Amino acid sequence: MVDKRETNWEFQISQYLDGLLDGPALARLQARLEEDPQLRETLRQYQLMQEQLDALGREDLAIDFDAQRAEIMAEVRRRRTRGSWRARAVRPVLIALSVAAVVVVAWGVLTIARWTLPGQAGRVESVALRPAALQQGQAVASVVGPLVDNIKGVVSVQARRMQASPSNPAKSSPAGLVVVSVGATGQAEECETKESQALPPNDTDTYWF
Amino acid sequence: MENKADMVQEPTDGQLVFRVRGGQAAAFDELVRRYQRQAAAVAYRLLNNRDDTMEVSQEAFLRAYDKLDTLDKPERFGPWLMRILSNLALNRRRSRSLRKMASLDAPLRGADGDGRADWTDPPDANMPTPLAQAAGADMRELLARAIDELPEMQKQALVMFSLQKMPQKQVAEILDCSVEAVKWHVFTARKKLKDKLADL
Repeated sequence: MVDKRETNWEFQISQYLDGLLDGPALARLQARLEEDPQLRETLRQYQLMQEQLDALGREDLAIDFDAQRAEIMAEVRRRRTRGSWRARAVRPVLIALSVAAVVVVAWGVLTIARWTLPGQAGRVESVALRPAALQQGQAVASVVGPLVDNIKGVVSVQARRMQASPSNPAKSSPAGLVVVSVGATGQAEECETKESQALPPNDTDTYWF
Repeated sequence: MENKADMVQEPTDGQLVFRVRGGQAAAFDELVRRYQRQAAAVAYRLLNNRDDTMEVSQEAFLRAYDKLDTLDKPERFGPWLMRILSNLALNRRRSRSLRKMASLDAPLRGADGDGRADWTDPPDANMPTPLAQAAGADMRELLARAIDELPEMQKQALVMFSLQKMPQKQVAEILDCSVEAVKWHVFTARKKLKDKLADL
């Protein structure tokens, strides 16, 4: 198949002007030029134009290249200094932020672990009944632990197994397994209660099991 | 016998790039020295404006400096720089045509001041005839204006290859096209210039 460019004589002239034509292609163009005066005129026009293009390429731009280079290098040095200053200024901040991030993440991981692992949120040290002041099923619990810092007071106490006290069935105080809710996750500490005992009237002291 | 100084080989572009990356700013000075004339010549032909040429060629070097770490093949610094330059020149031309900035070098530019010759303008009675123009230095001015009117790819290919004598392979690398495409762009540009000048 013949390449369309091979028969595009103007394209061949362009190639010829650029010194890119040789062998059979050059011979074909020369033969064509010999028999076609119009193509010779076209070649002459292209040659004339290429001379002008060459002259344009050589044209002195009247630019002070030394001054331009000095200006570029001054800016390069300015950017280098600015860059290194930024690096110096930013580095301690980045280090501080990294340390803070590590601390926050570590704290978060510990917190999650403490709130999710059984018995880690807090430990019920004691549960006391206050039959005079509290509703049935409520108790005063003293909870200590790393996250619940020695809370003492009325806490939500759920009696999973409410048992009537054999010694005082009328009071029906919680006995058996009492669940004390600690924290937002509802993580619980279980505390085995003992059989309740009769309390003196209006006794506000905690009653320890 | 060769002078000892002559035997000392100049560092390659790649070596200079590595030195700049290593913190030797002076090595960049050498890269600027090597390419600033070519950069200015290409920018001038693409922009046809001396002030823009200075700004764009300077910006091209500074961009190259800032992005030097991203240059995959340090030995190809030249073509890479020319690509940055031609992109900047193209952007400058676009913004210029949008803003219709007033011309700072009126003799080389069209009456509308956007750097484009208006070929539909009636001929000025004081202007030399096309024949006279073609015979003298005005031919180059006409050519410069005609080049300015060419589509971007044709213009860049013509300027880099036919005016600045850059190798076709390098032009292809800069324009991100094949060598055959460069040949065709150059030819098409030449043909348009010839036809345009013939119409005058």
